Amino acid sequence: MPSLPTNFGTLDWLIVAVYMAATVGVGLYMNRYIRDMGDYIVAGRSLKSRLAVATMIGSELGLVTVMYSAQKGFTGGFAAFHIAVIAGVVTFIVGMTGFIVVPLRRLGVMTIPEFYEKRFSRGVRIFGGLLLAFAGILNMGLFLKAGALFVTGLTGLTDPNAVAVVMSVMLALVIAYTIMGGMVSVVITDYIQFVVLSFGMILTCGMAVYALGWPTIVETVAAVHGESGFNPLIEGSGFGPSYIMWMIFTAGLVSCAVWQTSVMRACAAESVEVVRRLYKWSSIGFLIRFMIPQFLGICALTYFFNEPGFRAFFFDENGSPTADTTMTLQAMPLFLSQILPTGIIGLVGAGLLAAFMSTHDSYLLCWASVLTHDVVAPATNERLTTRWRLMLSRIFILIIGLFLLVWGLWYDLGQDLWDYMAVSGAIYFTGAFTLLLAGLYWKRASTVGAYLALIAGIGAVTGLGPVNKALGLGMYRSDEIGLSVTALALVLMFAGSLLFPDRKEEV
Amino acid sequence: MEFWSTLWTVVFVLCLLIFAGVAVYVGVGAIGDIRALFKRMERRGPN
Repeated sequence: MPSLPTNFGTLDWLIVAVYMAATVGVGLYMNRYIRDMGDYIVAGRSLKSRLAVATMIGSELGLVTVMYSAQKGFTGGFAAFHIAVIAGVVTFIVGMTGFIVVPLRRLGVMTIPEFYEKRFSRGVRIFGGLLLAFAGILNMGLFLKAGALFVTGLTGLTDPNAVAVVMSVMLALVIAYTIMGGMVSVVITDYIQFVVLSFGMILTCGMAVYALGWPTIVETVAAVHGESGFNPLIEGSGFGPSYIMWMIFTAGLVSCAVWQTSVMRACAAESVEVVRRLYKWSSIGFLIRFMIPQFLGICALTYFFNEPGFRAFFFDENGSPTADTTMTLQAMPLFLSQILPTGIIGLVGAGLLAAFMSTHDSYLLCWASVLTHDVVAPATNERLTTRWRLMLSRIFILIIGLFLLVWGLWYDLGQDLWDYMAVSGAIYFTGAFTLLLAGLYWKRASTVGAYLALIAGIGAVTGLGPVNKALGLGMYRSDEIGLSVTALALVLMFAGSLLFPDRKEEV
Repeated sequence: MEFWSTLWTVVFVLCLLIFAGVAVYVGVGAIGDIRALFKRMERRGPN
């Protein structure tokens, strides 16, 4: 790990502290408005278009997304932009057509497993809820680690104990205001994040181009990556046609219409019209949340490639980016610590750290709500009172928070973070996509088909590096496995529904 | 390569400009939405 002098000074620490305190204060204040589960999970379904857009983008533009997208820009060059374009275009199409999200909003459900019960059975809801929460909590299990890498790179704080303390305090603050304020506090803090991050990121792009020069950026990408740094269709670029297909499904459709945290925004919208507007307007946010960090990753590549003193840390002797994923992850924050002046770096750092907290609050609320609303409540025949539901959700938030602290910060997973996240998410969304698609648009979809599709989704775990190798599937990439599992889930849903139709259909 | 380089340059600048416009529109407009949200919740009374 290179030890670089950073522009992050006392003033920046002060900006971060004030910003965090203000955000947490707002979140805690919102507790006075929470009266029932509807207020807690979907803010009483009273979000209007522009606030809904701000909260959607504020929540999805998280630090983890920024870190991985920057890494993709570093390792893939401009070709990585195709992921951003896909995310924006698909989200816009979902807004135009209302695909999945409009029928879900019409049904008035708060979570996707709730839809499972309305369409299939209570058992599917409980099983789907457990699967969703399991995959979701595992998926966010290493967010803290990514956050720690960001703090280390940006601030120059290299003492692992100091980093652990900073991250633990931040997590404790998030848990406190999410427990107290629910969705209302999430919405308001997301709005603050949206404003600070939107303008902070645009400003950072401008300063990066000013510092490096556009022609130098393009020439460096060409020198490091060749044509594959621009053309995503080239098979050897790490992308290629199957990867693009996988991105259309994951970065496009899943992230906006199947992933529970996004769907929650659709469910919280005031009306179906607001849902459509929300997705159309958010499409540029879904695009930019990938594109700006990818660009900053490209800028980091340019900066370190042209700095002889640091080149050896980030590139091998052939001039290719290093295979050390920790280094490629840290390149972007290290780059920001070099080019942004004191004051600006504090504001951008605070915005990104707040985005880190923002993603945490949304996810904590989401998975705790799923466990309460879709696992415990239906398992007890809906006998839980509102008071108990709220208390249970808060207890789950606390438990998940403690799990994250142990899993993400203190536990050394020893594997690639990106594969870990993609695979853990796919355990849920490959099956969930099938259930939503068939459940909403195919009358003959049955409960047996739903169970089979959910079980098939678990097969996505074979895309995980160590499991992949242990099973001798090393010749298949994670995108190929993900697409195959999705196809399998669709086939099983189709076959299961035809062979074992629901009784009510026969009536 | 020239084609892709030009394409990504144009796409990037265009998206950045559109996003800046959306950020201003949404950022300012959402303040009204937050007021409306608070009013609605105030009417129902605090917890």
